[in-house]
Amino acid sequence: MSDKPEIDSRNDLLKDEDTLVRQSQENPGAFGPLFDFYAPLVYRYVLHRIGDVSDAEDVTSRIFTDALQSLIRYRPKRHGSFGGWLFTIARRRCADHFRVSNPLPLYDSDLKDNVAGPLDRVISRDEHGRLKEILNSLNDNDQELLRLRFTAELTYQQVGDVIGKSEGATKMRVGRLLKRMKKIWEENDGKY
Amino acid sequence: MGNTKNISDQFESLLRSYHKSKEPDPAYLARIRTDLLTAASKKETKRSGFFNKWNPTNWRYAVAAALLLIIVAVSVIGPSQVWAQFESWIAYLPGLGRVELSGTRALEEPAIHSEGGISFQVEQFIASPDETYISIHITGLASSLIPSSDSSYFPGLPSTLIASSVSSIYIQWDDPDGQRKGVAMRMAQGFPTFPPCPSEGCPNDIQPDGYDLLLVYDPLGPDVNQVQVQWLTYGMVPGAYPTDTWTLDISLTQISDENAQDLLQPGYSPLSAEDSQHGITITVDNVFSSESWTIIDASIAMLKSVGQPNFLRLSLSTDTGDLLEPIRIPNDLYLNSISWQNIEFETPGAPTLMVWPILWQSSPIEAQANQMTLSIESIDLYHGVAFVFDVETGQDPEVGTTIPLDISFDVDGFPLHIYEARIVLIPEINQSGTNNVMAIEFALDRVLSADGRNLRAVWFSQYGHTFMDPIIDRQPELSIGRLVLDPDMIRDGKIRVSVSWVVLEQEGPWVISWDIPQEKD
Repeated sequence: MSDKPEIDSRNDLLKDEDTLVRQSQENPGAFGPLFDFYAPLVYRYVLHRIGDVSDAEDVTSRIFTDALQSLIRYRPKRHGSFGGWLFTIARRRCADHFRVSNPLPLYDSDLKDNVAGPLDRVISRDEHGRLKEILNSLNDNDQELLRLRFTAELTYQQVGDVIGKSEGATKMRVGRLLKRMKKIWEENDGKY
Repeated sequence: MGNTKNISDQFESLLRSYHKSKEPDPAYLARIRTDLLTAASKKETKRSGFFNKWNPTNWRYAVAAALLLIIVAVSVIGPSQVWAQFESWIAYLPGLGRVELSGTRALEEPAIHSEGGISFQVEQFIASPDETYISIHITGLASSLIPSSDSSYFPGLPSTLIASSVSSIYIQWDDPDGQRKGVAMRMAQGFPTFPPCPSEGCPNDIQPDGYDLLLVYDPLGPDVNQVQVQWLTYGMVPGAYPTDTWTLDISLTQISDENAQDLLQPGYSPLSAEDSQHGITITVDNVFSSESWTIIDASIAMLKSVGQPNFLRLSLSTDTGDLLEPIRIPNDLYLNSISWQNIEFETPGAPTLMVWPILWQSSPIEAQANQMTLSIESIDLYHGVAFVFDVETGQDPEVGTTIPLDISFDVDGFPLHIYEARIVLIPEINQSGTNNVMAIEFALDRVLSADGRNLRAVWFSQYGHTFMDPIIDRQPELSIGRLVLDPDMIRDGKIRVSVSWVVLEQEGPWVISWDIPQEKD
């Protein structure tokens, strides 16, 4: 299995991202396509971090308001990819949110909708429970890395821009992290 | 091999499914899209004439603005002062100016702002070509907000406290092009500082007298001249609700490379400062000290099968007396780096050696101290376990039921025996208050020590639900681990329980002594 999220094809849609950003800097009304692409990603990331739909909607709105207001100051050479820059704002906004409210437990996703029958549900809960323990044993930075990669579905380049690392270093770090988690998983045969 | 690949694929797809988050409501997206773009277009229409076409990214307008500024500046300020300013701008051009870009600058003198009993002092500011490093000391924070000595069990607490008190710290400067710029600093370290211990020894309830913040950032502009702090928490600064901003002017001066190295690396690396016991090697890699703290940067190396280490019983002393019990601090200075190293032996299939970095903070050392000793009495080792067993509870278990068990397994050679499960009522705290709920708890044999190791805790889980707090007491009859018993969990009159983690205390001691380098004259 490839370790890339299924976003390569969608990335084709953003081949002209730089052009879209420049156009939006000159005319904020042209921000629409960027919003359409990134809003679901940002929302999913925020929801995963915050855990409450209403709060996630509120924070997502603020992130895009901030982004649009600051877009004129965005410079690819200084800030890296647009996606990375946007998620830097998203992380900051989520952090602001947690300063005034108590965060919900991480990785407490509701899995009931994703499985077929009662037996599948039990198995899924079993596997996710084990995974949850592994994830909870990671430090905050590693948890955030996984969120950016798998929930937000950012590319390695974009994740690197968010965490201040090169694409290669980010790829290596994610690879090492997955390897470490897989080892723990495999040692337990992936189950209880 | 095929099975391994299978597990690997299964793991990755599980990881992906776990990180799946719900999709946003399309109506919500459509609404904020409209709001955003409407607001943007309104902003656009407010512009008129020259400013309607103004865009800082368009170089023609930038040049026009610069020329306009120069004309205004020359006519208003006077040609001589404008030239002086121009000289200061070109000072930063390599080959033309007086200051080389490759140089390092540091604070001329500390800057301090005191208000409402709180003092915020920029102690050091080093702007090197590679990074920006800032050291800040805060005193006078409300004592109720300062963590108690129990904070050693919550190593992130000092950072959390600072993060909840300080909204942002901005560094600001004027670029040579006259543009005011600023960046929000990344919080790297925040930890309490302690007063020197009295000669009769450190009291257990010694309270911090302030906080040190260490911040790091990418290289900044050449003319950093302000540090700004935004307070967040109501009560930290009287009348500062919701926020208050303090601005401190600072001045940097060029320093030599040698001095820069001293400032950037204030610590030292002791020679041969390590001890090995029971296959676990602890090494002191670096020691950093200031007038208000000592930080030990150490690492622990051991085989992966030995578990994950956690230190709870350790002490630090010098030849002049004991220091405050070290507390573990988060390794956030390397915010985006891997906080652990996994060193694999060359032989495939051989055991994996793990190296765990760790930082401890303690009180400052006395100037006349010559030798330092770190003593670790024991280490708690967390073992991930995947041991499963069934408990016949019956389909409708009643409180007070005792179920005999005979479950034996071992963890890294340490034997464990569970002999009983009990159905009990326990208080569960949730959002609506406290309810009594049915739970199952387990009892282990009283033999809890073997080969210098002691059982400290067992974590049970069932279908992903971790049992409630393990009991870490060594009672004659040990009850460990509880789980709220949901009827959904019972199938065919049984529940399937797994042992997730076992914590074993490995007795030492590890004693590491080293010489403290003396200050150069």
